[in-house]
Amino acid sequence: MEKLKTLILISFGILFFPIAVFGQTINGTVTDRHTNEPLIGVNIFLEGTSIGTTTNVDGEFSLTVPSLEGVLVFRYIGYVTQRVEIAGNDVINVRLVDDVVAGEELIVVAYGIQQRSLVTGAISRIEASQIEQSASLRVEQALQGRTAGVMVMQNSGQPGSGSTVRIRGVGTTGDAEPLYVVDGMPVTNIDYLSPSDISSIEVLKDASATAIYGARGANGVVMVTTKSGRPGEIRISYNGYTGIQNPWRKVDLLDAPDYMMIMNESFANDNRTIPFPDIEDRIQEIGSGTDWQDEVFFYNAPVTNHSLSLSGGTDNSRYVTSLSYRYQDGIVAQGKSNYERITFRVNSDHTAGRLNYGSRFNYTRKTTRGINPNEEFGGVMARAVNIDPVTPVRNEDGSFAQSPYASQEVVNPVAAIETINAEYNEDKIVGGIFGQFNFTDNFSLRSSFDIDFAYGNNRSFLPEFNLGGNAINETTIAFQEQNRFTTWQTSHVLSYSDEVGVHAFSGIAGFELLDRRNEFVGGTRADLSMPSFQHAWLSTGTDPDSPTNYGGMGVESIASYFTRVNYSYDDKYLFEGVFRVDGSSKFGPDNRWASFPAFSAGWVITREEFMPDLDWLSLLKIRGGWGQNGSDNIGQFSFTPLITTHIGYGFGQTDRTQVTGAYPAQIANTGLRWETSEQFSLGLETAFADYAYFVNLDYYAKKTKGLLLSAPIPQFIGNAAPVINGGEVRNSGLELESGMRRISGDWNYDITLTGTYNVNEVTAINNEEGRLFGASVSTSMNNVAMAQVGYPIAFFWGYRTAGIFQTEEEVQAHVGPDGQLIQPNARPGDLIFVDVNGDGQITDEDRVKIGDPYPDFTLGFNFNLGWKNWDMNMFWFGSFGNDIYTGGTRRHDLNMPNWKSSVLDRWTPENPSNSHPRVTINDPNGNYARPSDFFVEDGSYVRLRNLTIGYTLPRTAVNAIGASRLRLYASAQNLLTFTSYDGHDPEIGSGWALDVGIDRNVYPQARTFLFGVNLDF
Amino acid sequence: MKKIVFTFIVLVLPLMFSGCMDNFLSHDPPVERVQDNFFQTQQDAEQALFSVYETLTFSHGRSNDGFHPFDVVSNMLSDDAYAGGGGSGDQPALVEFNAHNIAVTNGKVLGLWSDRFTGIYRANLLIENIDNIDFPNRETRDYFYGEARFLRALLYFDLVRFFGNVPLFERPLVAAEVRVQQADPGDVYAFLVNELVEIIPKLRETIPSAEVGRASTWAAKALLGRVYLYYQDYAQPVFGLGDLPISSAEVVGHLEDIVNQSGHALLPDFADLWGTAGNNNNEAVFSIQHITNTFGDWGFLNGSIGNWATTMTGLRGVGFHPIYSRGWSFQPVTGDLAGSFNQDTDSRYFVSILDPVAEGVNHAPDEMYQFQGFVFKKFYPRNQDTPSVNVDFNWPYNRPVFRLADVKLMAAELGSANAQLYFDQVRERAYGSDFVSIPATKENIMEERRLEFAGEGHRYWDLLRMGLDTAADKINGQAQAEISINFRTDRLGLLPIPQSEINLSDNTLIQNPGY
Repeated sequence: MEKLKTLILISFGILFFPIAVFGQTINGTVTDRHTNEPLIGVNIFLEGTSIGTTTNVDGEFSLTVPSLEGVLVFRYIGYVTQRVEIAGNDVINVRLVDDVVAGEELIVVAYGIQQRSLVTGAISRIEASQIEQSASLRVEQALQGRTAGVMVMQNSGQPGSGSTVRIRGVGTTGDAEPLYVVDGMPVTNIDYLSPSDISSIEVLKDASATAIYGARGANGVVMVTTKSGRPGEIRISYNGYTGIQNPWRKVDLLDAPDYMMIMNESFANDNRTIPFPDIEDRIQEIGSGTDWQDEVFFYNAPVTNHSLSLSGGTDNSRYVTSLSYRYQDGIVAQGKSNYERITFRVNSDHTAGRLNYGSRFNYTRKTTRGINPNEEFGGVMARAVNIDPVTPVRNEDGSFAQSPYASQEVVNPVAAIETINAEYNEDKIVGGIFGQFNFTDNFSLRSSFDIDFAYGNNRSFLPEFNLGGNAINETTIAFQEQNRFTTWQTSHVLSYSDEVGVHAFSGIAGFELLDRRNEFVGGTRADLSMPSFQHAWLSTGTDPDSPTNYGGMGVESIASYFTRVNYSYDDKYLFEGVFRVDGSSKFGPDNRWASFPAFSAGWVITREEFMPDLDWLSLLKIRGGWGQNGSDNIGQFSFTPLITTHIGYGFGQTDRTQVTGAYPAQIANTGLRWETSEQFSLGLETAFADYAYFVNLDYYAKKTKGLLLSAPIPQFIGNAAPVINGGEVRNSGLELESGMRRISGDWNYDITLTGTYNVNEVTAINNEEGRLFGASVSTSMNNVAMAQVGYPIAFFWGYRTAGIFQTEEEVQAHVGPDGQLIQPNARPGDLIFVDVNGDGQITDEDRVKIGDPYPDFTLGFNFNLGWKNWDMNMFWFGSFGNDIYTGGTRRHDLNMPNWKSSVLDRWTPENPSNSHPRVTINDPNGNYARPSDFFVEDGSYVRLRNLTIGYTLPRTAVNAIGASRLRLYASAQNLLTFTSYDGHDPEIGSGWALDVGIDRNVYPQARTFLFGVNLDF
Repeated sequence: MKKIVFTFIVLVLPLMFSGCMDNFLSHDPPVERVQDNFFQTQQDAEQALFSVYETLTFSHGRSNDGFHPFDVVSNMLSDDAYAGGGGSGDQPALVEFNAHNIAVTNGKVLGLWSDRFTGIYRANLLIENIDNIDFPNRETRDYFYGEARFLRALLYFDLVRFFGNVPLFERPLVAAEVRVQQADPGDVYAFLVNELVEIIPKLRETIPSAEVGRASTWAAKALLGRVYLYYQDYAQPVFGLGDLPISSAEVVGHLEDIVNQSGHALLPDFADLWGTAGNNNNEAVFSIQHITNTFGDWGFLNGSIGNWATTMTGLRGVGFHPIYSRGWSFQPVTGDLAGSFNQDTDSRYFVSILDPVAEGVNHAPDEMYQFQGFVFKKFYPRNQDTPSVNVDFNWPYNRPVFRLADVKLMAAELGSANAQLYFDQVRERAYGSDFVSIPATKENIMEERRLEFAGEGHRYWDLLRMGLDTAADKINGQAQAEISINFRTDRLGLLPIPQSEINLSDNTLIQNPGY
């Protein structure tokens, strides 16, 4: 903050005061110490005077001073300010040090910026360059593995698919997504941003950093700052890449001969007629059969991205204008799964006397077409994995073949893809204006008004089809839905800062109002006059009985007051206090307001006089804090007993008419309060050898109290359980961010390693059972996920197995306390279920924790290497100890779906396997119906997320075309994956808080090869 | 000066705002009403009452575990049907019903329990608020009141039949009331009888054509008959209870009233009772109304109005057939039931049982678990009635709860003076020219009921009325090498109290015997 202000003042100085034209002239060049690139626009002034200048495009300057004495100060955004004694020299060349390296960079905090070394909260920062490296569609992906304590799981490989972002563990059974704040405006997601527009992302992790976001800070805050202009000549940069994407693996499924063999064996095991008595002839006829994965994958799916930005201006008026375009096809279901986005942005900053003002404006148009990315019944991947390999894709006449073995949703997946016709498009504007009036040099008021406006259209078309199984639709249907989202926020913040000797004070106080509304309307009609997606608009529906429609709106608002006070003594002892009061319309009048305090402190030990000036130790700092924040992530009127209406019955002798019923949707809880998260945090920051190495360690203990949840009540009460403040979750963990940076001759490299370790435990759920039931899988595996006191959130809940019955004697010996058979229907080859409670039968009471979907720890490893004009980046990410529940990957409820080839190791009398039970259709023992640890696999993986090699053309060559920089690069995403998991992808993400890591044939991540160009003028 | 401005802005301004802040933060729910302004007008009363009727179509439970229509589970519990479906992994909880090896955690048990308590809660809300509502006249108030209490009685009768020992609530509970004790079964039956006797005069004798489907006084009388018979034959001996506060003669009187005064009559042709044309036929005293809608949310199965038994019953692998559609092959008919009909003389056989081989319907026996060659036909999905969208949810076949044939057979059983006449009338329609009168003994009536009501969900309860030993014989007689069935008399024919309900009541609820 201080630095910026000075900068502005100096700019004033240069403009408004006549520069002394007599004296001596100093010439020189300013370059980057790391890259030797010339730095343009560096401010240079003679200390204690208003004499100054800036460097030109070649980094050169010329300054006339009264005499060759005194001190020249070199200031440049992003670099450590350097003071140089003139000492009689008239040529002074300076190499500035990037402040990121020196730990002196300014980082964005809520409602302001702070110098890194003075920050007392736990904040991770990633820079524009790291965001661009990941070449990702969504900004969140850039956080994965680059910031400790931030867990990012991509929900699927579908373009535009969301990510699950968890900061410092999962603190709630409700919505655990962090708050996203873009240039001060809270937004619900950040996929409207073009990554190239982003200057930095700060992740506020502990309560001291997030408390200023009070009621919405409990899950952490991701603050995104977009680029702003720099004074100078117009700078044009273009960044474009194009590439191809492919699935990185196919699941190893049975081919036709093995499939027929296994099916025959399955039916024979049940004494049923075998389906392929003529197996040898069939093999002759069809060979290895159809590889359905090849049929549904879109190989060499294109991705392309262009972004162009123009920036420039004067010291008083700066701008950035950018335009970007992205198109990405998915690797599954060609034409039905893709993403297109156009964004343009104008950011401007102006100064007029004591007033700074400006605007941020972003428009995004996106169009997505998607398939259900993780669906176990009729998803595209589920169909491809389950359908038999015997059936061809098409008959000889070219029509789609129907499998005689298909049933229910499992039908010809290629034919089914043709029936998917859905599109979402959205126009979104996020932006605002701000003005800051500086009453004095250290007292200002900043006011802003921002909006987030989106208009979304959903449209789909269901054609007539009969694909066999139950995939039959006998009339064409059009569906349309329109959504309008409007959010505005206004915030007003007073800032004051001052220094008295070694005492530095600063403080802010502000208030903020936010109002969010959405209106929606939608409907369907059937029997279209022109049955195609192109014409699937409601008005083409001709069936007079078919129209349905709905519409409504939602509204919520938040009002807040907040203050933050900072004090530092000699930049050594740092204190910060935060207090925020929030009021939310989501709570009843008596519980509307809540307050959230936080305190933190830091001690920069290396600045102590008693510390010897050690060459090897550049920074040693301890910081810690405590604070509270909250979450209001519940429905809009949960505190009041809403009456729901539902058309659920009908009357009439001949003309039967539907009637509307009305009832309270759930039992109300007028005493509903905020969910509160309380966190203690301790951090150690160190840097060594002139900042060449750094190691930061953080410990945290976070307790979320009064969890907003709907804990089951007895169903005899007769209505849905109320939302209550009914639970408690603890997270504690360790975070490591470390790295090194070296330059030697033509070589330079830097390495960063981040690590996250988190332990999660539910410590209370306030009902008589102390548990919440989570997601179910397939037709028989109910509540595979669970939250229960004493266990991590969303653990897998199922039966423990103790191998496989090898003989009938073992079946007979598996008895309960009274000698009764525990598994009376079992036969040799069936799974042995553990009768945990010893009551002699296998019931839900025997289900225990059989897995945990969250990793024990994650590691990110980033390596940059430069040699002359060449650069290379390699980024590895590893997730360790996360389990995957696979019970949804095969339709065990049907007779003839295909198997993974692991079934070849099934138990047979000749192959007494202890890993895979016998195959059976009737499955009287429930081997494939009961949720058990047979379906839990280790999902740990290590992935080479990014590998990029770039070459920057020599300056002389590019100057010829008028450019200042031209870099060509080739990049590979997800080039290598090491995992023992045998599904399509170990990265699965979540559906909701209690549906995590459940593989239902997830849409896999792509392996992408890109070629790109960076061109600056 | 600056300090004053500072103080003003930081301290005073927010305070000025905080007065109107509460306005800024208060919104009326835009779409929904709230409970405080509900229960005022007759329209409110109608909507509240219809939300109770709606629960009659519920067959999936609050947890959406799904697929336990009353008739389907009752058929599976009896000697008329197996569990079926696509395999043992397809709804294994239903396989447990058929095997009478029901886990205390069985999700369908909880669903049957919660669907009925949901209706009872909604009925109790209306009953509690009935006098806050502005009705045009006393009669209107009375029949609204009567219908809410009738529905509550109907739901409680299901509960006491399925579970035996249930908590009895005459007002809506609040969330904290989790520690409640079960009522003595005798008290529940006495409650039902008292309620029905009290509401019979309040309910309407004639339901206007547009409102057909709402409960009439005749429906309440029929329910009284069924409650009385079940109490007399099952509950009284099994639980060792005293007499009900009503005599057999009074009950017969009520049943005779239906026969003589209601205007309901037997249709001449048994086949006319079914299909969409048979909905609300003149024989139907009270039916659950299933209507074609466009609803189709797999996450909220209870939201549909259609007949789920229809989708569940249909054969697999039908392909295109001019008449018959397809389904999920649950509740395949036992060979025992199919063989009990005289196929040559009993017109009910071809109406009640579909033999796909005999009728030349394609089907996939290998895909249908426990399939014996026959399926129920009364509610079988037919192509001409196929809903335009969300087919599974929306089959429009009413399920009769009471039809006049049942009323006549109940009266005959209870020793009506017209017992033989009523018995003959029901049989004569079935056998037509092949009709030969047989005596209206209890045994003959019971056998007749099995044939007359095949697939309608009455058989299991009739078996229990015949005594636990008889029920055990007949039910366990359906076991086969691959189908284990073990009805245990020590369980008294009851389902277990759902374990989660026991847990959530802090172990106040007590588990049923034998579980």
